[in-house]
Amino acid sequence: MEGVKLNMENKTNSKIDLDSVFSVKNVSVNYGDFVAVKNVSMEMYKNKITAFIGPSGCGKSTLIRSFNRMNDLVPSAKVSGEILYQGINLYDQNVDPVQVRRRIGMVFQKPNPFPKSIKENIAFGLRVNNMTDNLDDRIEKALTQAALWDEVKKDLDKNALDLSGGQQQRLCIARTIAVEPDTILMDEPCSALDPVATKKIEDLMQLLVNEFSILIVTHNMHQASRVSDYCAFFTTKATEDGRRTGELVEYNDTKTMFTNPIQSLTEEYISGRFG
Amino acid sequence: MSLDTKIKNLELDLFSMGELVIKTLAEAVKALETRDVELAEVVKKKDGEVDKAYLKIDKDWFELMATEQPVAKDLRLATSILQASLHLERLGDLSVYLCKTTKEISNLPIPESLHKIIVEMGYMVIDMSSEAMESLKSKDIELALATANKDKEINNLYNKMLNEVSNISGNKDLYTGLFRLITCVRTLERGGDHAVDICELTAFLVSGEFREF
Repeated sequence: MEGVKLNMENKTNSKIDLDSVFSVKNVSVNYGDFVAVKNVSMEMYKNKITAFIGPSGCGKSTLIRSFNRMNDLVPSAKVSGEILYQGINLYDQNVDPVQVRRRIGMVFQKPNPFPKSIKENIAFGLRVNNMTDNLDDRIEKALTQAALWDEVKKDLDKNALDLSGGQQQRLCIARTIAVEPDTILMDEPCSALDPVATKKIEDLMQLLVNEFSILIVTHNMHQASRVSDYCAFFTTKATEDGRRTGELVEYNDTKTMFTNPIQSLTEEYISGRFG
Repeated sequence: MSLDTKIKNLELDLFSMGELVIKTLAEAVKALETRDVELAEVVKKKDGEVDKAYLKIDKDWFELMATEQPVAKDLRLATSILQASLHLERLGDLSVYLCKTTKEISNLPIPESLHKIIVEMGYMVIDMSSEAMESLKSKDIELALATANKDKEINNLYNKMLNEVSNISGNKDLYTGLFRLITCVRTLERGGDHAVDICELTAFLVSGEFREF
């Protein structure tokens, strides 16, 4: 199957200017004999925010989890095809998954800080990665980058679980960026947050994208339209055995996706007329 | 009320506003053609209805944006409707201007050849506006393009009028009348532009790309 190409509105120059971060070629992810998502081909770009949208079960979370080998932790999961990260095949035998996860950090739906102090939450990953020189500076830098420093600088020994949900999520972002990744994967990072905390995370993403490449899975289409530069729409299709498999329908720049999408399925989904 | 119903209602309001504006414009041109000051007075008063229709669309569009945040085709349609309503409102103002001109020139010595030009331009604006609205209704880019091309004829008549006026000499009453006619043809020429802008909205609605005709 041909990969879904990014429509660049004939702006060939801008395509040349964009550095690819992920180059995904015919990727399918199985759980046992169940195909969760199949034949995805797409390019994602450096210092851009790419959003994955689509109904539940369309494989967007499964796919994003295969981008930092989180699916290795699921025994029945099998990734086929090729995922190149800055030209390196992520699933090559010589590639260390721990290093992959340091370079490609992840933030989850539910804020999941360790039940330890704010400071320890950041320091933990730094110790694991032998990045303990200038520890206090690194902690301050990560919390500042995550727009949390001013709120917690006097309470660094406070238990992270005493923070609000929004603060906990920004702490998880700080924990992720402390180990100096290049890319941040975000799997519905705001779905457990109220609109004020959501706004803070969205504003933060606009700052972080200057230094990192960001991929976000979101159920909130307005969030995708607000924060992302590129947007991929996935859907599920029934297979012969009655199960459903995720497929990439359209991948385009966000402005085009929300004003003049090419595929009628995309149009139906984003305008709430799906199914 | 569903998003579909809200947008459908906006569309219906726009096309009934279009019918009202074009009917009023036709009466205004008729008054100008027959130099019927009484008819002009009656027609002028209809502008209140046009303004009311515009304000309703403006208010409903605003509420639609606030509550539904439409995207893709819905967004293009809603935006085209709002912009088209603004052009229709201006075409409504054109009717008022024609009625005023009818009254102002009623006792002035206007050369027949110039009067003919202005009336001809009036009928062309009616024709273009009507076709522009039809193209929007039927989402017909070909019709939109053909209609927009007619604007050249209006511009030709406008230039013909300016050329003829410069060759006329006469008394103060004649000059006063000519001055009224020139400002009126300028307004008619803008009327053609409003029709062209509506045609551009048809193309935007269908293709998603804005282009100047």
